Amino acid sequence: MLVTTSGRFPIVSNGQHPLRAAVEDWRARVTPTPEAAWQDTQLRAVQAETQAELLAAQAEAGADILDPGYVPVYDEWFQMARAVPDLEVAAPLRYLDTNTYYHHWVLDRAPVRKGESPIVSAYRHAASLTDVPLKPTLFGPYTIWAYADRQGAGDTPAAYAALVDMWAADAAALAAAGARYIQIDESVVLRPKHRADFPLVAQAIERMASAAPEATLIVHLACGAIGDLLQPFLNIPGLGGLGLDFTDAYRDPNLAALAGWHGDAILQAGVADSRHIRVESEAELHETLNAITAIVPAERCWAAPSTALLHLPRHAAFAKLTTLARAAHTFNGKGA
Amino acid sequence: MSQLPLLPISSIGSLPKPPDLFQAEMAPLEQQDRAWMRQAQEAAVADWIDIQESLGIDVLVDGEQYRRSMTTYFLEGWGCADIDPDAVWVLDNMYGQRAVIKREATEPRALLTDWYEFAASRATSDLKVTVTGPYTLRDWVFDLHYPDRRSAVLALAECVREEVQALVAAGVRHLQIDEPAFVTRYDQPAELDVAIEGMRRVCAGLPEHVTVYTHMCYGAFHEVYPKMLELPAHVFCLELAHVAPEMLDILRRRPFPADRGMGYGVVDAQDPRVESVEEIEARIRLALEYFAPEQLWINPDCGLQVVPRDAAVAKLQNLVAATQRVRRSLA
Repeated sequence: MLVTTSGRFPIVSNGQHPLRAAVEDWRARVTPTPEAAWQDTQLRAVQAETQAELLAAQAEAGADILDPGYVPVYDEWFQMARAVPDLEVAAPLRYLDTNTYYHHWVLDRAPVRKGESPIVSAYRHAASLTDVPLKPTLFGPYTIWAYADRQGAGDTPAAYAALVDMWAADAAALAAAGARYIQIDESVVLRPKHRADFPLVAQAIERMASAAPEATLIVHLACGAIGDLLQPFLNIPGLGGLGLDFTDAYRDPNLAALAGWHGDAILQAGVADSRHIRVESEAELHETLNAITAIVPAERCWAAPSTALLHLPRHAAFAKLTTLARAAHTFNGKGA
Repeated sequence: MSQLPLLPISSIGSLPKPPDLFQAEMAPLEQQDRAWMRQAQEAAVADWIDIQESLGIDVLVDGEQYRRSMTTYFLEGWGCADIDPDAVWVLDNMYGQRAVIKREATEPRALLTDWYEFAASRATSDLKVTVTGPYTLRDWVFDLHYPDRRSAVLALAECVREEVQALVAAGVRHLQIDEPAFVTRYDQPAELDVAIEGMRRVCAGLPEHVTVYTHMCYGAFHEVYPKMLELPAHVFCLELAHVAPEMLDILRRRPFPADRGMGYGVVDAQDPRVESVEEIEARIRLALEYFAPEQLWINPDCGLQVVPRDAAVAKLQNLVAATQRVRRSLA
């Protein structure tokens, strides 16, 4: 059983980090836009140094598949918008039930990609620093769509298809750069209001998978119960794996849903709670892993945090990852 | 208490802090120069009281100049939590300190009385005191003490109730219970019920002369409306400068009750761009399509703490100017 992460990491310690200072300096110098962030060589240099720092910390914690360590300026939605010239990014909105906020897009026409997402560039840099496999994470096109302020021609099937094309291009670029795993975050589709939009998510995943056939696409679904969407997800052509949340209120319903698991997809099993500061014991983690591997073969399971460890203080995030890695590796040793 | 005009204007809560105060408060409490801090905090509160009065705000706030955050201030002050040294990312380049609940409250639940009396001694207009609600106090921190979320919310509700009772005894007539976390778990109806139960405990037995406000922001309000009306608030202060079409749609189908007030957010609290008077006026006129003038309050979307001080002042200035224009047209 391999150990992986589920997205980006917290960086500050005692309120301090060079990237935080660099962003503050940048904000004071320019109007903060996605393109301005992309063009600022000083800022990008500090982002690159931060990647090296986070790659080393993950490796030290014992993870087998690493996040590239990319920390965006402001947030991923803001920074990814630089790939679409003239796109307006609007006020931050609260993401799911977290106390974190992302700048939503204003879609008033079909978006046209004129450059690649900074995530692709960040992947290339990370890959130059380590031989350990990496799993870059993209917020999925449906999440951007669901939170977007959509108007007129920006609120049409053609506009969504154009958005999906952008993501497919980024997936292809990541695969061409050597990425063998790509995580797509689409947790919002598990919310009651959005479940009926599953076909839009399926459309996007199938398109991205066909654009990057050499990469394994993991759709990550945190903070929710998959329920009757498990089968439709597993049936998406090209799906490489599913990330599910086995912590807190979602543990029991997602374990129950696993009864219908079939096929060769990887299960990225979120067994360490990324929303709670208490570090689970190895015994607790083994208990959940035992319940999961009673249904899904251990060789197709990855042990992971329930979502990005971003939601925790830095010291707690890495303590969780270290314990998770130890628990998964001793689980392997037991022969499960 | 003064007679409030039509479309009364209120601030929401936090306002920008002087940079030296902001820096100093990031240090652990035991390392802070408390005498200097108190002096700086009082000066900052007095400054914002003066600014709001000079601008023509009808119901003032103290700007929460003495609170490190809306959660840690209470939980740390009541002695039931420690502050984790590593702040957690919230948005943009903003990182929030998180409290970790570790025990029952050990300190008196009367943190705000002293600050209310200080602010009241400086103000001639009405003052509104803001208190974080029990559901948000639990939801936005880590809990290592209580067995489940409901137990924590109800225990914290008792603390908030005591804080509120002390404020009312000190003369507070405008009381805002902030519950921004109310809009986060709308897919879990039991969670909404816990939040409602908590706030009902807080407000139980409050005298009729106290106007209770609640504030929510950055959420899908249409997902919790009309359920939110079960909260025992007279006025609902919402972030509506960029109101979602879904919210307007549900308000058309389920009109807001005539016996409740709507505090309509008309300036963006995250964007440093200062909206023009015309923009704000248009937002107020949109609000008037859904709410009677007699039930409408005008306020910023949220506390203005994250925008630069000059922008915060300019936003409030234009908000007042726009409201005055609309008042004249309604007269």
